[in-house]
Amino acid sequence: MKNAKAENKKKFSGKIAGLTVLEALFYILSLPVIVVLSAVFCVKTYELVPYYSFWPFVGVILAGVLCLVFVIVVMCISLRKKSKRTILMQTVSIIVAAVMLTSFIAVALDVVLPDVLAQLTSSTLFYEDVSNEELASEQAEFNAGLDRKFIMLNLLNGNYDPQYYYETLKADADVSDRAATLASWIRRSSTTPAVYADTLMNDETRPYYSELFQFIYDEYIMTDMDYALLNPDAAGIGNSTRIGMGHAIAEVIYPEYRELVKEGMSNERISELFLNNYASLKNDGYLTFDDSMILYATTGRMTVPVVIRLLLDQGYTYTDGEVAYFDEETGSIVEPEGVFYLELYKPDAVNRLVAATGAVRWATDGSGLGIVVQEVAGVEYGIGAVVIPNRDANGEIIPNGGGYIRAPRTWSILDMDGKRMDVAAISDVVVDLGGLIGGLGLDQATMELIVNLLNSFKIDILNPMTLGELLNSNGMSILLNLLFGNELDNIADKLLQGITDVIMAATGGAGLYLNLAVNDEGALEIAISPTNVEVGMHGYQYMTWMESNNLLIAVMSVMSLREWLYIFGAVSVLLAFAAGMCREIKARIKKDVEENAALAAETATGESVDAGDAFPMAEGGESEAAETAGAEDTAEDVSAAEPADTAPPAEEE
Amino acid sequence: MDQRSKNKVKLFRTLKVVFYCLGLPLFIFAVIITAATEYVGEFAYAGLADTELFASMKVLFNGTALYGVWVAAGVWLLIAIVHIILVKTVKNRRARTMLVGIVTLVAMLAPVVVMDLVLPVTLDKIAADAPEGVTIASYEDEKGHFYTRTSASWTADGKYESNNYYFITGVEDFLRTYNIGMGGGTKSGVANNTSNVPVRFGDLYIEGEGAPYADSAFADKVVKSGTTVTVNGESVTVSDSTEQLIVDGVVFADYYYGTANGLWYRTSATAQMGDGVYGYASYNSNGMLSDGYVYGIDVALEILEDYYYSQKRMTELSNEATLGGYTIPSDAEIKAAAAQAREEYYSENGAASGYEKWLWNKQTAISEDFSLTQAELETVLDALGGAIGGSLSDEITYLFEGLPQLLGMFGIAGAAFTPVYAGEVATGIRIDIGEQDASGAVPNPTVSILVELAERNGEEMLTIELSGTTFNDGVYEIGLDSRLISGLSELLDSLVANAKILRNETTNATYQTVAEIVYDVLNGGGTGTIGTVGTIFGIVGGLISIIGDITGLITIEADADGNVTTSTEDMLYGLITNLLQGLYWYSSSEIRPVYDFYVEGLAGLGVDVTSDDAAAQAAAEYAEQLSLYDRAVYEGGMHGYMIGSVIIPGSSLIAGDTLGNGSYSATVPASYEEVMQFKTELSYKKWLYPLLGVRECLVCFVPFVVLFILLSGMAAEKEMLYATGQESAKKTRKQKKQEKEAAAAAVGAAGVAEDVQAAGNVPPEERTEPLVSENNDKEVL
Repeated sequence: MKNAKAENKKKFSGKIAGLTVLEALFYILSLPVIVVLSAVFCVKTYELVPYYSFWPFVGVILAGVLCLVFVIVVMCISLRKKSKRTILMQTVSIIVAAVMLTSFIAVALDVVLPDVLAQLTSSTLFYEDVSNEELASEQAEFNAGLDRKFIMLNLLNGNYDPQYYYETLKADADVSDRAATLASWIRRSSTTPAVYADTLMNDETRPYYSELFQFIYDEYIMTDMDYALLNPDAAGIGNSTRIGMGHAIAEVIYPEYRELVKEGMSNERISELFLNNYASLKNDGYLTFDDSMILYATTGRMTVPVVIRLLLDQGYTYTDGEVAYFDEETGSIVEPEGVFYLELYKPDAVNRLVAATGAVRWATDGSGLGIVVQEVAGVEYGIGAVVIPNRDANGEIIPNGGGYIRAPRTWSILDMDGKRMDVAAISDVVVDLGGLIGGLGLDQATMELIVNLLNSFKIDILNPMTLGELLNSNGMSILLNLLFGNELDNIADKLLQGITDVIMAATGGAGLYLNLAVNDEGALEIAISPTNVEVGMHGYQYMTWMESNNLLIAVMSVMSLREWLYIFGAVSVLLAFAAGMCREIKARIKKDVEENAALAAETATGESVDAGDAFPMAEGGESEAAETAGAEDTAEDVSAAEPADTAPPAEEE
Repeated sequence: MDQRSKNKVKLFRTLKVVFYCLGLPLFIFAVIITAATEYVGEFAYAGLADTELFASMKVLFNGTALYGVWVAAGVWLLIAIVHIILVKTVKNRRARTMLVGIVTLVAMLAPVVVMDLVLPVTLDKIAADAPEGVTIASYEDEKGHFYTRTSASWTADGKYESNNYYFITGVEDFLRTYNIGMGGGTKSGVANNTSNVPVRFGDLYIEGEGAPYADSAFADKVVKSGTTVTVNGESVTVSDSTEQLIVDGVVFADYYYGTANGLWYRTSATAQMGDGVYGYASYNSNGMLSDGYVYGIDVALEILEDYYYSQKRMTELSNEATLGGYTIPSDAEIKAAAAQAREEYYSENGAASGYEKWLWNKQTAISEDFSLTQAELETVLDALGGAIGGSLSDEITYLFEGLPQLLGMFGIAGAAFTPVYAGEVATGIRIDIGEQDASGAVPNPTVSILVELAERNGEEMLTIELSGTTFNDGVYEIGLDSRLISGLSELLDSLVANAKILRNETTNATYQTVAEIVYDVLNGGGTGTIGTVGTIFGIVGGLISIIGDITGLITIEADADGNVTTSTEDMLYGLITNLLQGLYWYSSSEIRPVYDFYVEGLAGLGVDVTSDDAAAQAAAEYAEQLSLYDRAVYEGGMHGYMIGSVIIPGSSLIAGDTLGNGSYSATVPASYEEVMQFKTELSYKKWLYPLLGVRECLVCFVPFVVLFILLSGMAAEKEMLYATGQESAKKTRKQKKQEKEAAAAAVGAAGVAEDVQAAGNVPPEERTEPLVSENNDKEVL
């Protein structure tokens, strides 16, 4: 008999334990899952920007807090001993809490965040851009990419370290050799685009390498007149010479770049460059445009008068032409209060200034700084610019070692945009000079003369050819040499520089470049470029994003939760309801046990024993609960004070 | 209570709720659906939002789209309140249900009656106040056509063609065409106007005291809070206050702090949203719209109204003057007099404030920063010359040296090519065209062209020198720099003079300058070919409406005898600057525009605008209308062109509003009458149609709502009866049979049933005995 009772008790205990586990499982599968899902996103984001400490995990933190609140609510409601409410009502409370902690938060985000986010980012980042995990993930990758591009910009322009300066690397013999080797390999007939891509671009052991190469190729190689006008010579790939040079430079820079990607904005020099140069871009640039015209330009009202005003209006700069000065008392170079100097690696200018006697007055406080006190021909920086020459280990200026210059900057409106504007891409244009000359109606003698003349100079430009082929033909090269005594790239370079000078005269000193290039498809491209690559900065919008990148990453991290909050709002409701059902079943089982026990006791003693006497019931709602489903509190009390011996197993009845 | 009765309780409880939901909630739902599909999200019914934060909600709740919803909600609220009161006060269920039904009927019909009484009167008043030519549809017509149900009126874009549809699409077309929004707003950070730049010390001005730092060494330095500026030993300190501009302890009251950049601005140079000439908009202190302002529909319509009405009225006034035998000063006279009046206003003895007078004298200098002047144009041309001559000087020198030899190989007859050397460097090439001698040289060239690289202002510039018998042995120099226009003018004038084209048959005078030819062509003067060209130009130009555009661009003055006093060089510069002014112009935000003085300037023409003389009154009104017209052309045309919303058709130099998006839709109002029609409709249809929408719902739903209210009440009553045991469910036939069999054994059971039946024949009241089950004590209103 005793064994049977124990067996029966064990059986019910097993059921109750199973239901308890199931109940816990339902709760775990509801809100806590969001924490896991959020963590997946946040870890991915953290891998992109490891230098932003806890910010990528703000989403997890929020999810964790919500989960914690939910757990507390569940515990408070379901584990409360003397609850007057039925299990059903308790379940409803938990369901309401789950909805409030999930869907309600999502609704609150949907209502409040769109306009707030737009206002905080000056309408540069919108809620819709990050409204689900995929978009938030894309945006996070984009924002992380901004940091990486900023690093690349400042590596190649020499700002981070002169040894990675594009011109220095281009002139390096080892780099040239490597470029020639790569170019030769690319030109080989067996090097298909797929082989090229697999070998050089998609090497999984070199993350971010292709990105680095593409940056160098697009921003430096294709704007360098030594390479820009070269015609493609490797089908489907492009021009092997410039691609080879791009890879040769990228390979030199890559190890440092890889390290900097890990360090990101926590790298002291990168951070310093960002803060210093962004201050100039913002205060002497964007804020001077920050009014009607730039707002028109960014909201679909960029009319001709707006463009002209943005380019030609003589505004102001916060620095207002203030120049640094030599402090006679301390012997130091002082940058006045309220100025924002741009720091740039300018080897040629520094070399000229250092070489010119009396042009620079050097600080005597050991800072190594100098100040321009006399203008030097060919140097764009005037009196008051701060010179920071490269020095050797002994602190001596390295002859022709280059250096940095800090000076006020006049910004163009295109610098604020920061993007190159493609003016035209001329492709499929075949130039038929022979046909053109033939159509002039010249007499036979003159025609023969022209042909003989061209032949005598070996100028083969009369056959039909594309613009790229024409520009790269021997004939064109000979003709230009014959007429101007110079090569195409030099002449084009000078012409483009001339145009830049005219633009600077018109805009009061703001720079702008015109680019010409024969692209990898052989089309002639014409583009207008701002000076952002030269100065190592994005446009204002992206620089602003970078300034608040940690916060934006945090917002994205939170926004990655949005859809999960909605989805798990519904899932949590179901699971909480299921958990409530488990509790009710448990309560019913316990009630059966009680009744059986009471009945058994009655049978055993021959007296009527009320279940409530044997198992004290909770007051009020408990009786109702027992009537319908059975109150859990009661059941728990049953467990606590179970007089098992008085209850015969139900099966025996 | 038996199970059957329990089931009845449940049934009637459900029916009570269902019937209630089919009444007022369904009506409200229908009103919401009507609002959501017909009005919400439509520009025509949108409200204004003063900030972008939560703008979408403000636009919705400040607009008229929800007017119907508010009416419906009010009706429901009223009925609900009365219902609650009746529940508490009337015990008789049947009476309560009846009363609620009556209240519902009244509450729903009352708005309909009010609308039918008030709205026709309102519309009649609008019609009476509307300008001539504006037609207002009757209330009955609007009621019938504001919404359509005929399948034939289903449009391709998924809407029914109706008055509401036409109104919505009309507003949309207007907004889309002019690239504007319903409510105007500013695109502005700190300044509101492009010329409102941070003040410099030299700009600081105190009324009555003048500009204390105008002549200081630091006059050109920007004023920054909390800084001390020292230039050439002179110092000035600005306090760090952001509330007041305090310089060296002196408060400058008329300046404000720019929070974005920490610099100071002149208050009168910025703009404020407020009421002005065109209603609520962003106005400068001189009454003009600020650079940052983008029109709202009301302001755009005001501008269009002024534009069309002023033209119409000026024509009427001119006609009246002709018929009345008096004259009105010409537009040119009015404008010239106004310019003079403005000069006087800002002169030392004028009515302007000290600051305004001081600012007036600086306008030329200020304008140079915000427009392209002749001096700046010359700077750019010099840079261009320097870029060509300077950057490519080596290549050009090389070309000069080799080109003669190369060209000589072709043996071109009648032309000699000679390099020009300065020392050992070829600095130019001379091309002589004419008869060659035996050596191939051209001793007396008809045209001699010398292209030379010469230093000018420290830079190498290319110069083209033309000489030879064609030019009467004169030498003309055209520099590829700022000398380009003057050199070109001189050359062209020379060619014209040498051509000896007859200008005046009487005096046998010939044309001496290009400016004379252009003047005659534009004004239909001259003889011979030029006269013919002028005539053709007048006819063709008139046909395609370009005369005004061209004469507006070319400024040539002549004296009373017809002698042109403008040089060709001035004409060309004028043409260039006029062209550029159409793209890039300066407009002060503080100096009053010249059209403000049109009426005032009439005094200078001897017109006393205060007299009762018909001619004077007509002149005053004409000048006022001309002022309105010019203001509309500037504010709707030039300003509109700048912001990408050209309101005045054809007023911009380059057609269209935004880049690459040019033509106008034919659906927008294009006359005074059409503008006023649209403006009037906008004023009342935006509230009328949402009200008509709810009216339609009220009328259509009132029988159903009353029905379902009654049914709900009856269901509630039945529920109560069953729940309290006052009524029990009827037994089935089988049960009755069983009972009958049982009754045979037990007598007197039938009386109980009769009692129960009898209870159902009296009107039910709330009983005090407890309900059969506590769960039944739940009611739905």
